[in-house]
Amino acid sequence: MHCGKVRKLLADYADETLSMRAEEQVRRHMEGCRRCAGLAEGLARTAALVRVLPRLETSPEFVRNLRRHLPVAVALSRRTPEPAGVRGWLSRHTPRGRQHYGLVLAPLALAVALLVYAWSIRTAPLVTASEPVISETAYLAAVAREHALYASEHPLMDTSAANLSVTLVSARKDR
Amino acid sequence: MEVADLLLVERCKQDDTDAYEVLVDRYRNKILNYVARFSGAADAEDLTQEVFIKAYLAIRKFQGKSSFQTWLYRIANNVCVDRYRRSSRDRIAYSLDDPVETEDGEVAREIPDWSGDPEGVAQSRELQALVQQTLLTLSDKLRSVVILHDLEGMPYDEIAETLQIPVGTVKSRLFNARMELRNKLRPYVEGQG
Repeated sequence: MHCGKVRKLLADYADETLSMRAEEQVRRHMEGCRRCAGLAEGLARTAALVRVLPRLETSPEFVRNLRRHLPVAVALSRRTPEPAGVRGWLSRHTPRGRQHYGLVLAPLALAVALLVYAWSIRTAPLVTASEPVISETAYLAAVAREHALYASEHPLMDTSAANLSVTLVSARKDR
Repeated sequence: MEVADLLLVERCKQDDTDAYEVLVDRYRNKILNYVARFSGAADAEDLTQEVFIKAYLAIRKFQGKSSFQTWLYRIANNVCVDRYRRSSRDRIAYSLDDPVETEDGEVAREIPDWSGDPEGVAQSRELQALVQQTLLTLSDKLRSVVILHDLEGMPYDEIAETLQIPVGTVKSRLFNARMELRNKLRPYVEGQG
């Protein structure tokens, strides 16, 4: 038996779990191999050294504490898990119980009011640029009146009256 | 006459907490020792509670393919590995030349004279603290095997079942764990002779 094979068997050798034949072979190898014998001894001592660690015992409160914690853990484990995603978010943020009805109804009422307001804005008649507020004739008459007043106050600027009439006529023609 | 574990487990599945208390009483010290040695945690008893709570919550899934003890150790190992990973960032690296922390404060590390009073030395808190600290320097895989075998006295096939690895892997891990411990504790191992 060579050193590599012996070393693989050293744990079993130390624990005396080898077959009698294998144990005899390992023993005979170690009689002639100081390195393997030293290694086997070192490993056996290491195992013995680990066993210096004392055995521990639980405190007297251990079972009492477990009795206290176990029902809580069981109750928590039996809770229905909350759904994931949007449904989970909604269930987490939806108030529960009668005392919280106001928290649900108030935002709902506000939303309905906003919808009604938006609808009323959309259906109201809108004033557009293409629909004049006063008739064209009335508008021209007002302009002429304004101009006449201006011309009486500033006689030197009266030439603009001719231009205005031309402008109005040409504007009519363009239509 | 002692009621078999499997019968008690069946009663636990019917929400019989008295049956579970019998199982807890049977295994609490074993699990405490495994958890304490694996994690080195001061709150090993709390971790042990966690193991038993997890086991109770999962007991309906226990099918009896392995022994209850093996199943319980597997849960303990998972709890410890999880805890150890979470706390490893906070762990401070130490040197074997540093003083040893004991319940009575810091003690200077001395190589014990095994030839004088080996039993007395073996019982010393300093040596125990040193061995515990050295165990914590091993990887999870090596540490679990060496604790289950050398401290809990579990045979190879049961360790293999607990950790769900082949028996050959158990043996090689045990060899590697002891080699690493021997190298790290060399002065103490050699001092034994």
